[in-house]
Amino acid sequence: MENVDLQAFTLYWLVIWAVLGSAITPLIFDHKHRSPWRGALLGLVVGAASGQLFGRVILVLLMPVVPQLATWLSMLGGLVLLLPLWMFVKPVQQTSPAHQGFVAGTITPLTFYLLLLSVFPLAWALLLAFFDYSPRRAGGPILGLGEGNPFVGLQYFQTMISGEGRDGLIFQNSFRNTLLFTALVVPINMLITIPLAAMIESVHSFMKTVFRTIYFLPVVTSSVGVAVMWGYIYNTQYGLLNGVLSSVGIQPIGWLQDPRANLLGVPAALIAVVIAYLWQDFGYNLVIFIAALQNIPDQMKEAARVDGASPLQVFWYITLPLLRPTILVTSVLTVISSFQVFDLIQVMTQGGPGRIGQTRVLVLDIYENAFRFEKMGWAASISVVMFLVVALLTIIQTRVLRTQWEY
Amino acid sequence: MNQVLSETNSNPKPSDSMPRIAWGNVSRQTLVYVLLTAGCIITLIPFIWTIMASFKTHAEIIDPARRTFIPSNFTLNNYNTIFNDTSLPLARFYANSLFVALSNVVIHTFTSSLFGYVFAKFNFRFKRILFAYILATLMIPFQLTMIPSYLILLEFNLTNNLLGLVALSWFNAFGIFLMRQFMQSIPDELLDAARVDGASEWTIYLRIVIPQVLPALATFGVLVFISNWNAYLWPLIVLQDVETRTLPIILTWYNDRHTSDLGLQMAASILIVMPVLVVYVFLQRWVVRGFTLSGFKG
Repeated sequence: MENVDLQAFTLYWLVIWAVLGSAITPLIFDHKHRSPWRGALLGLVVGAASGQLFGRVILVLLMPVVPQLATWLSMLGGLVLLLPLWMFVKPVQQTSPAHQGFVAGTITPLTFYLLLLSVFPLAWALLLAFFDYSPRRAGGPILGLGEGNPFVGLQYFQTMISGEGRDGLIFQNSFRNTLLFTALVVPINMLITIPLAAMIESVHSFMKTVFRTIYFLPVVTSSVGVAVMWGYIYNTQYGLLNGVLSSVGIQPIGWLQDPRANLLGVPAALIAVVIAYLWQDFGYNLVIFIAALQNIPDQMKEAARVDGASPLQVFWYITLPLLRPTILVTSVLTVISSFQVFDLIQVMTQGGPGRIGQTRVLVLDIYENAFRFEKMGWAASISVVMFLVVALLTIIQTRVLRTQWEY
Repeated sequence: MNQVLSETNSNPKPSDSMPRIAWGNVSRQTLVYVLLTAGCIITLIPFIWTIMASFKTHAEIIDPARRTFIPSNFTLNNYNTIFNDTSLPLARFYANSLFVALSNVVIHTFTSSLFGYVFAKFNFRFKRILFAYILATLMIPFQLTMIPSYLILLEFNLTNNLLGLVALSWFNAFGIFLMRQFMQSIPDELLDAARVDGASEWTIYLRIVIPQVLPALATFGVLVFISNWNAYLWPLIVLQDVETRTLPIILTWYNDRHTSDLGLQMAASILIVMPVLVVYVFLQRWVVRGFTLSGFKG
């Protein structure tokens, strides 16, 4: 028994039999004209209880005899009570009006899953933000909170606002970098993709497919691959970029290493990751804009053209206003995704260069605090703030772009 | 061809209301093609530069005087080194990535089509609340639930285990939303006819509903495959033992051990990036449509 993680098995038994019980029982109840929803609930309770009880019994009984099989057989514990339940339900002598067994048998497991693995982690994340938590320390009885992992109240949020200590300093720096990164990525992305989409839309349909395929390639490329490829381009000694620059007489720049290199006060390393990110990401908005442009009726553009509008005027006064809803959606999505940038930066710069990290962003801060320094409470509180900021930005964007669109 | 057209139509009437092949039009088209081609070259340069570097010798890469695209001494040494490295069981890592990606494709296409169907075609209590919650989870960044999810995996004893990337991700909010859109266009009469013929609901789902939405489902499946194949942050957290790792983590791990040998790094990244790109080029129409339809981001 020592080599079996009983806690994990308890969870396997629970999940497997709660799901199977609540998925199968309603079908049987439905056949026998009983309420499938009641069946789903009954199946869930009976399955979970039987799984816990008989799973344990099977494990204890068989462990000394057949240790290899015992763990697998214990997974069948739920059947012990579920089978009798299924077999001994008596049919009711009346036709039920609507067969809902299928719905009850799918929706109940889904709800169970959502409660266990979506609602619960969310609540846990919010709770963690108020505790000094590390999984290594022995904590209180509920989720390991309390005792070794004490309640700290709003302390983390105060640290973020005041920027005190190393943690606060690094957080504020990451927050600024993330904002700057997003502020650079979103407008440049829009400025590239909208005209590019309009150009692609205007060419012959075969070439349209060719261009679209090529421009979309970076989107499906692994972001780690992108980071390695661009890391080589930015390489100080052997990189392509410095090679090109040196041929026009510019001294090699330590794009990802030199904390002093900057352009208009923006660190060179941040510009470098912004460019790599734009390169990887622009194809995504591009295809959305192409699809949106295809939905704009030709008659509207034709009418403007007949009235003597130049192509640029058609684009500016007809196409662009009609694209507003799409611009809203894509800009919201781009803000959200660039706020969550991690892969590129973790691989290309690890948040460096510089003492507090010129490319250190929020997700990197969350990742390192949670999984390297095991300060999970602090990391969770950062993730809560990040979520709130993204939500706020989304609301602001929706307001701003919508009011412009409706006048 | 453009030249000829531009000469014959060099003086368009400004107020011409007919569709015209005007000089300005043609030169503009040429300009558009030139710009688009330039854009393509910029998009492709990092790929080409990487592929070419993977065939260069180490001496050539570190020689600033020979910084050209085409390798002057074409070599397969980098790839040979990787394939013969006994500390790098590459087949194992491909199998790991393939296992995770395909398992998730199977699970997510199944659950998304099933729940999409239920939400599209059935009425039940709390349906609106449940669906609203599923949509709301789309707005919640993964980073928020990442830490508790890891702690739950710890409880399940599934960290350091490929099953940890599969067993607990049963459903995909995007997938449910996407499939629901498609399911709504299936006529109710078709389903009712099958019911009158005595088909059970599961039979209807498998035999009638699934075939109707198969193209959309396949598109969604490709997206799930790509995003799982490329996933980095979550596997990085879950998989700490080298043998259980998936390809993107292996790439960074391998490169950290060969920081000075750029040719080797580039060859390794080509080996990891290329499978998805090949799949993409063959299925590009579906992939692009899937991304456009769903707003699904890897």
